[in-house]
Amino acid sequence: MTDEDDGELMLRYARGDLRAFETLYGRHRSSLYRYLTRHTRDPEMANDLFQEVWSKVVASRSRYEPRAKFGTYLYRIAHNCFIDHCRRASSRSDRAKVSAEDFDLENALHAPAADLPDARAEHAQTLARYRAALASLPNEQRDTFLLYEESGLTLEEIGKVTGVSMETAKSRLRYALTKLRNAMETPRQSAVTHVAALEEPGA
Amino acid sequence: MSGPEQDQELEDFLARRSPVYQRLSERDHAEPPPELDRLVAATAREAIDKQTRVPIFRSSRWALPVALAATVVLSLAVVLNLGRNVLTHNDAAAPVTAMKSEQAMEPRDTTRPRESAPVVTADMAVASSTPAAAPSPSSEAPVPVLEAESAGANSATRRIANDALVAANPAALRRQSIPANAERDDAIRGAVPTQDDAASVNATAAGNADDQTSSGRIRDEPQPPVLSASTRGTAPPVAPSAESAPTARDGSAPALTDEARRANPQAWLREIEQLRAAGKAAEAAREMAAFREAFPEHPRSAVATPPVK
Repeated sequence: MTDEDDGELMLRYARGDLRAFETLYGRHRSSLYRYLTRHTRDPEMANDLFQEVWSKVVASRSRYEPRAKFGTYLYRIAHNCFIDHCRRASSRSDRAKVSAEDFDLENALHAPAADLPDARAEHAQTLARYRAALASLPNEQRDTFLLYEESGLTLEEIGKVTGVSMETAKSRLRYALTKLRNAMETPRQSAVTHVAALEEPGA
Repeated sequence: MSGPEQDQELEDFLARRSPVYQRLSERDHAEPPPELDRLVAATAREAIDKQTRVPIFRSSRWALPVALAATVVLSLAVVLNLGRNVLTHNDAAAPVTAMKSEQAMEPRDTTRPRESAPVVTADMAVASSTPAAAPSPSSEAPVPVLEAESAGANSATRRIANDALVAANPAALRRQSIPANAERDDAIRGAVPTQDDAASVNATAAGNADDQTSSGRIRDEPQPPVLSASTRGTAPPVAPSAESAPTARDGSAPALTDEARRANPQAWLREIEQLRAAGKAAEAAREMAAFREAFPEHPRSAVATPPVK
């Protein structure tokens, strides 16, 4: 299925074809949910925003015109919903500023390392670091990174969704990647240093 | 922070050649819960159901209140207009009733027969009174004053006078157009009585038949005697024709036709008198017999007896 097919599905749904909407929903539900979950870092809030986004898609079906990709249309709605959510609950934004250590601790509480094999424990730790690094990014950079990762939009389309130029979106993405790499490498380096320190006394 | 390393990293990421983030993204696999899927599906289905229930002709939001307001306004206007029409009808009917009652209450003054309204159309009255109506200086000349005897004639005379005044001063037309029209309507209304008043008007006109025939009569002519009610019935209440024109006193006027005689018994009597005066006794007697045959109830005193020779 191509993006043009997404637009056609949306038009069919606007004409009353529920099957078309189910197909469209099944195609975008996972990526949109991941985008919202990583963006908000709050599953409940992600659920609310996910439902709100699809409700807006349903409500605006008669005004939809397939002038651009359906993904651009869908993620623009999601982006605006997230912005509105940030404005409505500014107090919750403080909660979003959790540190990487808190994020790791939270994940450690949910997944006891003693019950996991070593590989799975390592993966879990890596994932926790990734989430923590993602959470430490500024909203604009995280938004751009997640849009590129999850929606599959181009930089130009991301610029349209976020209301900036393509160069700005590209710059944000570059900063986001650099910060993520630094955040992911630091624990590994500290672990290596820790292992070397451990090996030295025994040597 | 925009060194070649970062640029290469960005290019790899944009080209989806960065396995690290791809792997992380795959590991951070998150799916919406089934409850959320059901909620979204229910929302979409409900929207479609509502859409199918929408009627084909979909009115605007303002249509209903505007329609209600228009209905209320129109209903009020119709009700008020109906009430006003009823009041106007009552007001219009009241003067007519009052006039009828006044006519019924007012005793018929036989000494002033000239004020009664004859059955004469306004046009005829105008035609007969035109020479006297013009307010010209020549009106003071010793021209025989023609009587505008009926109310219709008076109104018609007034109208002619108004027209002459308006012709002299056009500004007066604008100022007095409405009262003049009202008076003209009154004149026509007075000159042409309604069907309800036809009997009384006809009786009055019959009683003043002599006046009708003498719309151009000279004023110093003696007053005719009052006819009885039965005589009034025999006399048709119509306007005098050209044949019943005023008769000259010298008797040189042509003889009246039978129709004119029956229409104007006084003129017939005058003709008989003239015949007697001319020494035509036999012819006068014959005419007298015909007169009595035509007007058997005519008072004897009104009929001049032939001089005893």
